[in-house]
Amino acid sequence: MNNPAMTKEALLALSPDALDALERKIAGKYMHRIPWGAVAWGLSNLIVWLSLWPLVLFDYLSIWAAFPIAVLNVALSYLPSHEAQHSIIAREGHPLRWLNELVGHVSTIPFGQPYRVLKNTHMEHHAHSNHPELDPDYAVHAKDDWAFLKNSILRRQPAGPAQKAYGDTMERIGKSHMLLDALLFNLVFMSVLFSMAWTGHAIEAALLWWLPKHIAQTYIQYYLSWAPHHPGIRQERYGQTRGFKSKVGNLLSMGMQYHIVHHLYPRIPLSSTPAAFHALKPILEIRGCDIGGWSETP
Amino acid sequence: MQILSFVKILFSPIVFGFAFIGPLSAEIITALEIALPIGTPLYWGLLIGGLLGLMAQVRGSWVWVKPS
Repeated sequence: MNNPAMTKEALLALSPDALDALERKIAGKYMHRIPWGAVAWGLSNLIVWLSLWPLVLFDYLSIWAAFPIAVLNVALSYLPSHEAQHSIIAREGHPLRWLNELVGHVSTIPFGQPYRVLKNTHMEHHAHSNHPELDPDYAVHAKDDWAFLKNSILRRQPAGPAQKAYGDTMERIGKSHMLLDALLFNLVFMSVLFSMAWTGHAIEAALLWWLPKHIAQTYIQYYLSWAPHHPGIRQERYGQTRGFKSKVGNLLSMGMQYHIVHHLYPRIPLSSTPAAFHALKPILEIRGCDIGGWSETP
Repeated sequence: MQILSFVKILFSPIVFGFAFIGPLSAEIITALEIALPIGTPLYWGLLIGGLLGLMAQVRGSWVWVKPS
């Protein structure tokens, strides 16, 4: 730690107000940047996924080559929308607000989930993280990796509670009319699967959308919901999430090692959370945050 | 209400079993060149899809284990 003003002793000597101000000042350095990378990522990811369909159907690309690309596309489709959900690309009233909403709406098409439902339920997740009744993502908690996997598979079964939590949340906040978006997304999804299947392209439909969607859903739930919130007990501002060092690195864990920063300052773009986390780390430590393996790194 | 009933049926496991798992199974049988004792790949595919869909419909689970 090179900055003497950020030593544990110096930070503990600050008044609560001064500590808050310092924390906000540091976090502020990483906000108000348009994440052009996320914009390009969201739109290009969709284009690549859409292009797989004609490429495979007209035999320009083997379905076996397209399948892993489709899995990657679907797995990568959520985070750009997540940036839009938090209006990180452009706030209301900003000239580029249309771009924020465009990315939000179209980037999740491969994921088969509508932006407005994802956005509203996600805001409730932020407002009530780890609350058994009010956090729509609460049911993802499980004691370990394997319990998560079993839970994730069982929750999405026909009698499972996966969609009910989101539906209940939308009803509770008075936005159940937006569930129509989810209905339309599901109708399109089923129509594509059924029509492809009955025109001799069931394997293509299964490997370009159905299976990638299930694999990506598990992956996204693991890294975006389970891992950064485990064990999901604390509900206070500095205890809702944890820092962790992923065995697969930051890219493959989708930047979620630093999810703690996102919950504290949701307007910081994903690409800036690692830097913001390391800048805020001394403060997070004295706030009592669980920063996992990062506590051992300077 | 009629629309809701239609949607419920459309999204039901039994329909998914027949409309998607059935033709998918048939294509897999054909691709793997599995010798069938009787009937066509689609016949067997629909049997597999229909039975799986029925199981999912009755048990509420495609993997036999019921969600808690």
